[in-house]
Amino acid sequence: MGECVQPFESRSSLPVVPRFLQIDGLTAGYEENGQHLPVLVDLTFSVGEGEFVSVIGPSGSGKSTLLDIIAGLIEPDCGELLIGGQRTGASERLGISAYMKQRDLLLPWRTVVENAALALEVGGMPRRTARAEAMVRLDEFGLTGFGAHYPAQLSGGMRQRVALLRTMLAGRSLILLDEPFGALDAITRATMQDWLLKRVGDHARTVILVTHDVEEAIFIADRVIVLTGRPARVAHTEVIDLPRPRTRAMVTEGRFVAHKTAVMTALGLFSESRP
Amino acid sequence: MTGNLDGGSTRADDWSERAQWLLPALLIVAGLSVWEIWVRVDNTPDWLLPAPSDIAASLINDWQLLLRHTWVTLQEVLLGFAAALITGALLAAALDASPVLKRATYPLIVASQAIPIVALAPLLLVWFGYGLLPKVIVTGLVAFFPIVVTTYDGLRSTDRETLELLRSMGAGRWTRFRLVKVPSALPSLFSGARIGVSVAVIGAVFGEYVGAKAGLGYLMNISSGRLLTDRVFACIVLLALLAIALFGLVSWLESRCLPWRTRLVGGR
Repeated sequence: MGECVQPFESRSSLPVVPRFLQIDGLTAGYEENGQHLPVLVDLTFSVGEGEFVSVIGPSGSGKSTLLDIIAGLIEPDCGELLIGGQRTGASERLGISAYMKQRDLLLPWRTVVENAALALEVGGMPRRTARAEAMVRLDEFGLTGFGAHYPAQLSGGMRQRVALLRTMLAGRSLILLDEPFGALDAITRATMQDWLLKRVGDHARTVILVTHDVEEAIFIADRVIVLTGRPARVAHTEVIDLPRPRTRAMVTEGRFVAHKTAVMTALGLFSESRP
Repeated sequence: MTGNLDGGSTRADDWSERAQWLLPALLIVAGLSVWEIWVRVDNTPDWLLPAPSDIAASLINDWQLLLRHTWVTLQEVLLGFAAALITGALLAAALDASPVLKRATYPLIVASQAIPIVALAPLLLVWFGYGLLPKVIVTGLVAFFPIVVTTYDGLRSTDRETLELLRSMGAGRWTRFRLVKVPSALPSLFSGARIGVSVAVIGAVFGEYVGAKAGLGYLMNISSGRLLTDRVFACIVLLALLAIALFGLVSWLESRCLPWRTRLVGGR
């Protein structure tokens, strides 16, 4: 186990009204060749209900580990994770969030509708009801007429939309997105970001998006949390002051550029000493 | 991640599909013709090598006898194979669920394949007599191994990230097994079953050879003793047809059970 950094002021600085998700002094790492490699060190931040937060950092900075911990897949070495003010263990968090990864992870033997309904079925909803729920949402995700198709018959963008539908349909209060559009080409990616904004806007959910694309992080989120390289700490928090609904044209606005400059500076992209 | 909306050129496909049947058929016809001519020109005695026409005659004249014995062998194969399929699949699931069990029994399962059936079959005869049971056991034993190994590998190679996704949805072990592991291991199970059903036929015939009152193996044994070589060949033809039919049956079941695969390979 790694050494736990005792959070000295974070605990007292927690807001009186509990935020939806509070992460306090989170430290995690893994063992390799008998050595403990720290991935996250004393990470502290919180996310409000209905807030859209982007987490950005250099690759290998432990962003995926962070989401795995929030989802309940991994137990951190130390630190607290509170949901609605309640301390939670990893196993208690399983089933609380809807997780979407870079790989669409569609089950090849299930049709589009069956894949989309997966989380509902796991949640105990009868198959028929779950599939009917998925069916009526196909239009909304640009999948009209593809309900009975198998994943291998779809394009990359469509597969990712099925994964997005599965994630949204799960009906969880927290949505975790781990570079969901990382494997897509630039044009499909932009379209998918628009889809995401529209769908999340419709349903007002709390979202944490992990990305290494600065523009994506700003364009989509209310707040961008910048992590340092491994082991990751919070380097900077950028509150995004752009009205919603967001439009592509905003990307060229002065305010957007200012945010972009701030985030890139926090990532150390402007320092001359970079190799 | 393999999209395949792009269908290949259809003319080449049509031709190769036809050639798939045409070439082996031509080869068989050519082979049989050479055989027939050779035997007639050389005047080879029947008991040494019967002509294909003699074998066909035996198939037609003795059809009732052959049918009765084929039915016995078929029963042995089906029972043995079914037993191998059920125990094999269950054992594979148990091995996958428990690493301890796997470490304890996997070497034994592999070792069981080193036991010569030649040594075991006479013992089974002593223990269980001349009836159906010892043949079913031999058949089951030979068919069991490929099924366990391929199914276990299939369960093991289930995509880890998908399993984690299901876990994040709150799916317990049984749900993950049912919704992800089983369907992703099915293609492997069917591969094992296809090998298993082919060797099951050999197993049944071997069991009958050692000691039986009926079955194609038994019929071959007594026919060769009486120099009825044409009937021996008739039995071989029937065994081959039996193996092909069972192999085809498993393949057909596979295409029925795994529609997502067939639809992608051949489908529109």
